[in-house]
Amino acid sequence: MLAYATRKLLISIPVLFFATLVAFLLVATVDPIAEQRVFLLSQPGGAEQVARLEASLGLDKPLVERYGTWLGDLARGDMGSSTENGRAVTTLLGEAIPVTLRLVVAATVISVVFGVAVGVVSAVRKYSVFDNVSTFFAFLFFAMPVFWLGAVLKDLGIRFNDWWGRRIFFTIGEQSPRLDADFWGTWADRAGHIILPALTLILIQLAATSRFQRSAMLDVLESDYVRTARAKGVPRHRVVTRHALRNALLPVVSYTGLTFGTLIGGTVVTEVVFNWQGMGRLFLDSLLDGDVAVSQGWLLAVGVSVIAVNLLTDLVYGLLDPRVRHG
Amino acid sequence: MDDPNNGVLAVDVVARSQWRTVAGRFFSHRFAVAALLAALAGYAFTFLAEPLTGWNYKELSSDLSQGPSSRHWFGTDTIGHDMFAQSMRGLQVSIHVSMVVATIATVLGTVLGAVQGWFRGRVDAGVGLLVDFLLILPLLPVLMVLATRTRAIGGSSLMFVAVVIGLFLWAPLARVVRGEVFSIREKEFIEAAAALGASNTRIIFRHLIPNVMSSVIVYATLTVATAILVETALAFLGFGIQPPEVSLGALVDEGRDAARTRWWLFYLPGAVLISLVLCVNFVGDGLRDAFDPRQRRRR
Repeated sequence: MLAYATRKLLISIPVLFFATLVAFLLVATVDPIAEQRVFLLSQPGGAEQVARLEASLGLDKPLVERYGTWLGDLARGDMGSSTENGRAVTTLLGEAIPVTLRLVVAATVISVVFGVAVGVVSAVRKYSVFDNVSTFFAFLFFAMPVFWLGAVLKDLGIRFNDWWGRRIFFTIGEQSPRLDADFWGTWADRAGHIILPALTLILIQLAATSRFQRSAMLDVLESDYVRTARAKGVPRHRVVTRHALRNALLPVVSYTGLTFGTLIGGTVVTEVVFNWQGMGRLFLDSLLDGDVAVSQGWLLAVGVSVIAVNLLTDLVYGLLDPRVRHG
Repeated sequence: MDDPNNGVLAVDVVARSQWRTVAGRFFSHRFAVAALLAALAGYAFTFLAEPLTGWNYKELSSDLSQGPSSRHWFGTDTIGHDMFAQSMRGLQVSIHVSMVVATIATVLGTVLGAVQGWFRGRVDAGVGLLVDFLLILPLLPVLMVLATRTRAIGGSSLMFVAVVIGLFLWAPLARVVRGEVFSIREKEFIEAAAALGASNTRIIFRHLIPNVMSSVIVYATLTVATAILVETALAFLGFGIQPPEVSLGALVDEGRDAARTRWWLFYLPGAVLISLVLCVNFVGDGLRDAFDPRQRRRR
């Protein structure tokens, strides 16, 4: 397992470099001083000021050199600072990442656990009422755009609050503004805010995961070794949990890793719907403002997280399937 | 007696081609057929909406913020757009975009996957790297960046958005086609074709690709659904198709703040969007069952 893990870790290094290149190049040709440029050039002596501004941001250098400088700064933990508010990109990311991480982790953990459970029960009780009902809902939520489902849940939350007479569901923000509470109070408040956004992502993820798990489970249940286990008298529940489930988890593990990128997109949309001050809002604003350093830092942070998640899925896969780690 | 058949009963045996078998199975799948008809009828309706209701999607009427009525089937927004005309235009745009996306992604995925599977070695490894990269790429953020980068060169036009999305969605199909070609290439008929001196191009296009068409068609349908969801999500965030052109995503975005007071602005365009995606998914499911009955109701 150690050799396998080391090999996977080593492969990630060139991928990581590639990610820095993509993150840099995607936004590198944006002019971070587009607005000042137009204004300054209309003023007498503005050309020199523009030149000075360009020099201070390193814009007069060729692209390759700028990439080198960016990479060098990155190695020292400096990702530049926002051209909009002058704050360091690392600080901005440091504030936004925990907010988004709460949402992503909650949605992933809950949707995987429930998705596996629903899929297994559906497969074991094929064509039962439970199977048919879960198939129906999986189909429905699989067809739902994240932004629409999020907005519907938000609207239903508001309507429920009105009907109940007091606020049960929080529909705006990741926590109450100017919250003054102790540790537990803060987390209780955050938990209240996370319910609807997390539910949005969970319902959509759950639809795909449960279908996937059901299909994988059906394949395994029909295999010869499962029939052998049943024939030699292993109790049914033991066959399902010990013999079948372990193998049927493999496709779901790789699926969860592969769709992490999609989940990031869904999170951006959900954060916009529920007005969260997380990674989604940070990215959207940086793009609208032409805030190059922030966009680059954001893309890199997301790229690293995607690589890390895929590394993690590879490792889990190796743990579950000895053929992979010895192959 | 002069019997041309020498006493053997003459039976007309008509061979059923694979396509007819598949078509037969598909048409016995009631949900899928209903979904296909609904999608086609919906598409036809996007052209009939204006003559039927008398409203053009660009037109501003003097009826502001009105609920659904016989005059405005889906009501009107704050500046007097007829929401039915707008929704139908959005539906049309979504269908057009998704068709272009699916065409590009399907052609790219099929050809590149087949090339990978046929040539193996370095070609396979090279394209494979790109496939692996595209599969884990967070698509939406990247498309958002590209949208801001290309605004100056018509990046928010319908065709441009469609082409860009198409260039990013071929990877899953390429992976599947590659896998299937890996097993087909070992069959005798491929060996025979190669022995007869068929060129690589001929083998790929005349022998390999026709034999993976079932997966190609099923994946093409999946791509249509993905394309619709991606296009509308981009428009929702304000990075896709821009006004005066209409996207269902943009309509949902404009309507969502009014969800409580003027529900028709939010719920009706959204319902149109979901119905479209549901229809596409049902058709895809029907096709999968038709091509591979053993897999019936698996997914």
